[in-house]
Amino acid sequence: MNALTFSFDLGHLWQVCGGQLILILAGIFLIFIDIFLLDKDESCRNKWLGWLTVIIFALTIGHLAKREWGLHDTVFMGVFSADKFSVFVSIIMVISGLLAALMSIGYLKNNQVMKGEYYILLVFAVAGAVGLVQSVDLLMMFITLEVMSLAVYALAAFLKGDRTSQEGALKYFLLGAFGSAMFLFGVALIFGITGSLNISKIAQSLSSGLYAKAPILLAFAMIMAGLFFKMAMVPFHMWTPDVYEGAPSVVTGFMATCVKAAAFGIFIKVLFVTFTPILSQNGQPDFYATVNLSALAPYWKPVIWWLALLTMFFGNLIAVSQSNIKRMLAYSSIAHAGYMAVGIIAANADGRMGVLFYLFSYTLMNLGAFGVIYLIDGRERDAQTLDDYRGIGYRYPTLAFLLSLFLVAMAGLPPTAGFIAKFYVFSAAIKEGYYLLAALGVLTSVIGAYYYLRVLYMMYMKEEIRVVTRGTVSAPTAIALIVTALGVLYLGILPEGLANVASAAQQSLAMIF
Amino acid sequence: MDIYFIIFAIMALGGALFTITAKDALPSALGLLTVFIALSALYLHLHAPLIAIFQVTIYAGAILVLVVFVIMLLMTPDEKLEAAQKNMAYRIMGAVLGAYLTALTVVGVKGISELISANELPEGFGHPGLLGDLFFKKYLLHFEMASVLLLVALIAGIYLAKKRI
Repeated sequence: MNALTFSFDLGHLWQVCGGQLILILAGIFLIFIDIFLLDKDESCRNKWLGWLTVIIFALTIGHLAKREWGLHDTVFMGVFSADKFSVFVSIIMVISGLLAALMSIGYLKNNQVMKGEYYILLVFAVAGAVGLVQSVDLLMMFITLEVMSLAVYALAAFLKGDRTSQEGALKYFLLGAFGSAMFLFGVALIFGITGSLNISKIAQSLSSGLYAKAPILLAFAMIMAGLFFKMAMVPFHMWTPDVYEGAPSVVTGFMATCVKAAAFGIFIKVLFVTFTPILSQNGQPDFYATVNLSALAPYWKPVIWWLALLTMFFGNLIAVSQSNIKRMLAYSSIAHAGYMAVGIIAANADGRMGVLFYLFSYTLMNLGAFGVIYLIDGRERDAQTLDDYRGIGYRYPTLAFLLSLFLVAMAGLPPTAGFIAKFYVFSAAIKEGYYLLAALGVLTSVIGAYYYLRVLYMMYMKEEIRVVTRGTVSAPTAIALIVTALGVLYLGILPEGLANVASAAQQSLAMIF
Repeated sequence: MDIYFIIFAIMALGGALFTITAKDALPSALGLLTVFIALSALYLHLHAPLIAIFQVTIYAGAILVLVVFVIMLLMTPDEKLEAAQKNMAYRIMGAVLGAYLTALTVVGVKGISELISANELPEGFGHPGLLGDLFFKKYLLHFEMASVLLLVALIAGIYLAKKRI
């Protein structure tokens, strides 16, 4: 046995994975807080745990933005990296967690399921997601993917007496396990062929002639397919409508933003670092050979081209025929994955920046929309059909206005963030010569505008057929809704600042080694 | 052929025979336990202590307990296996599966024998210490993250399984 020459640098661990450490330790801490508050009544516990979770997420965002952004020595033990790209996506996910935690305080109260496990699982889900996006090691990606997924499966099943919630969660679990297994098979093949798990090392060994061999392509396809499951791209989207409809509304919003951001973040990282020549741009002689990896482009580009097209068309067309608003937004979330894939296929700096911008603005508008939906719902599944939204505009003017704003943003109309995000991804695709895809994408977003604006039509131009009583609007939910609404408008009018940050973030992909 | 191998090989074969000939399900499970223990002794003899440990903990420990639980849940004490054995479809299915398994074993053994003739084992192969070394050096972070995964699974499992919480 070799001597113990191993050294473990705690300071460096804190610098690189500080955000994850805060989240994991806070999750364990919350378990104890939950036990300490056992003799208090439920709503007091709910408030305490909810606000503590919000504080934890705020601290994490602070740490990520202040310490990890701008770190020089970004890779820790070849497993985690705190490059700007990962930090940017992590911040999106923690913001999504923070908004979800704020809304959950009111949601759990309105639905009388005030259990501490909710917040603990939420914190661990975000911890897993941050770990997933930060990892540069395929095995670690699998483990953190499972940490995130397990927590989200349980959150999706959180309404225990509700059959739809249980059914959706079981479907999510089975299909999610299938997707993870695909990913794991791909990882095993890659490890067997190259003998390495680190993505930049794999890129090196592939570039020395292994690329375009059949087993590598198979492994590539399997890793991608596993991630497509989580991204809800079209042939792998079957679970999305049932799960999004069944899960508690706030959890649906969280899944559509945090889990999607994690899947897209890690997809971009693995795809570009391992299978494209991006590492040859970093000026290190070791990585010059990765230029060869551009030979892989004819294999993956057509696949993503077709998937993006199918995803945009299927998502938007099927959403038109939905009568349940959560189910409609589930299909719309599939369609949005398609728009983001357009940014990925452009494979240039603008495209990656566009996807990052898209993820950020989508997080704000989607969580905002689900926040309003849970309020109008009262208790889960009391008022979710389009008919229930008739005349809401006059009964609850503020909520209806906010929902209209978020839906207009999702439809991609100015002056909202949704317009700018779509503009960035489509203009990046046009720059690379994907005219047909961009034109068809714009066409599908016109279809999308129809069903988003139909909700507005129902709210303002139809007589109500039954009286819908909204749930209590609690202060934290109000704060979250105001913040998301202002964010959607701000990014629609002044997108420059975030676009510059996102642009700096995507450049750091070349520096992961 | 040393005496150590012969003793445990006979024990494994005898246990296996007992497993398939026993009339009751529970003694049959105990026969299976004998097979597992004898096999783990054989692994030790082949200088693979780690596999021996896994054999005892996972097969004899976890899987057999599961088998016994299922038997106890499904069968009342006076019910015998004979009722199921009279079914002709079961017998045909068993024969097909048995033939398939034999073929699989033959192919597997052939493949392994080809592999073994080509490779020499490195020093200290299969030692539990080496595995621990990897776990706490190269794969330290993976190991720790796996414990977080188990914690999350525990919390989720308790919440979903318990009626009142």
